[in-house]
Amino acid sequence: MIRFEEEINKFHPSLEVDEVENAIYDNKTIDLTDIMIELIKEEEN
Amino acid sequence: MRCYKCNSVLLDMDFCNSCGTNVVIYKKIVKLSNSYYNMGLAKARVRDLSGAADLLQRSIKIDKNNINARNLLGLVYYEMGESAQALKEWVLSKNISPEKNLADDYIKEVQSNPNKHEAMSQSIKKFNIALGYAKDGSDDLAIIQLKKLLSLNHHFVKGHLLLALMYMKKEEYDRAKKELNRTLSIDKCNTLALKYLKEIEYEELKKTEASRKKKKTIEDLKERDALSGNDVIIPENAYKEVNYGLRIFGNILIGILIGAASVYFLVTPARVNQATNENASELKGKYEEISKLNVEIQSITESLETLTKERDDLKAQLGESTKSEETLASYDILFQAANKYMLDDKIGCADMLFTIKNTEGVSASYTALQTTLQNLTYPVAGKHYYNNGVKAWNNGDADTAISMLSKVEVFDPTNTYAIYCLGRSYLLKNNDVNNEDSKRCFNKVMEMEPDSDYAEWAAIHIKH
Repeated sequence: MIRFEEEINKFHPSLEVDEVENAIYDNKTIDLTDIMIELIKEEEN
Repeated sequence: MRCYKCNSVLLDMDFCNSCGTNVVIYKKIVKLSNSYYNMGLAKARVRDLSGAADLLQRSIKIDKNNINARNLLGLVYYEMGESAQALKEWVLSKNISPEKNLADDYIKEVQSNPNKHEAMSQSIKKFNIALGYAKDGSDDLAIIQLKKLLSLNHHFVKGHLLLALMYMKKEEYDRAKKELNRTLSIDKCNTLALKYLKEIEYEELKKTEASRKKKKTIEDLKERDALSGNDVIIPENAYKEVNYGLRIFGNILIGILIGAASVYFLVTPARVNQATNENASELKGKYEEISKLNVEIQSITESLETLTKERDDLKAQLGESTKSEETLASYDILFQAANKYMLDDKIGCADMLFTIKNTEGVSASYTALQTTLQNLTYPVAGKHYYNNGVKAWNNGDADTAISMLSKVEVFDPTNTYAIYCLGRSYLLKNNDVNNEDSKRCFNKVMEMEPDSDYAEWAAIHIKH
């Protein structure tokens, strides 16, 4: 049984072309390598 | 693979040759990222775009510098209609590795087709608007926006999915199915699309079951067990379910029968009556014509009898008379002409009259009969010889044209074109512009209708 309100809330707005620039500038993804480096730094400290 | 600290190329050892950093874990991270990339690539190859996107995102989360994963993710987003997301990934990829990067080519490809790019960005804007309408409960507005955006960008997977959801909410399952099938044609294993399709199947099955149960209930009611002593008999309800279909059909049939009967009994006699009256008046006209002709024939017959008597009297009186044979012959010709007319051969009659040359000394009766016959037959003969004469002239048969059109000159002396054609026929036969016959004809044409085209052409022929 589909609950429409729940299903509609699963949809999120798409990134528009005007927003790409900001999205790129704000892109500060942390990957496993970053986590690993953080962990090594903490260990050294 | 390069060292994450000094960026020098790593060899097969557990540490960097340049800076000595332990790279065991780092190498594992990169390998894991590449594994996800490979899985994503395999999914992308079979068009499982949402599956590929998921794996490639994981690959990037593990190693954000995985250029191949970013470039492929951008391609997958582009194929799904998310051009902005695609551009973002390619720009990021280019920032990480500016040299010899496929992302460069992809960005140039997008920029080289500004119309398509504009259409895709408009479709994304409309999707966001439509999503807003859908969340506010304005389903119809959302549907309108979604239809518009999908006309701009057929590949926009999210748009198809949202539209399918809207249709499902309105229980328009056929339309929803179409949208979901379109989604699956772009993204073969889209989880949401498969889920919605299953839901639709379930709903449709429920409906089928419900209608089947209803039928069964009706059938069950028809079967009754035998009565026992304890049964309470309830009188049957007089109310019966009306079979509207049969009633409508019956009404239509009755209507048709009434219509047919009214046509037969009312309209047809009037039409028959009308037709009979028309026929009667036509017949009356024909009878009147016949009686007129009979009167004419009667008068001609009487004239003929008179003339025959006169001729005989004259013959008897004159004996060795010096009356010219030609005059006597003309009586014979007139009788023959009259005879032909009575046999309804008007052209033959006209031909006979045409041969009468000398009417010197003939009686007034003779002249009257001759005139009557000419009036009755010359127009018909004129038309006949005119048609055939012109035809012969057009076919280049000068002799036939001359023999026919010469008669027209007598039978229908006002026919200017016939005289013109006669002149041309003489010219054709003799091939001599000084031919007297043709000149005579052309001069006659110029006299009869000096302002006409025939006169102009005739003048040209005479000049030349």
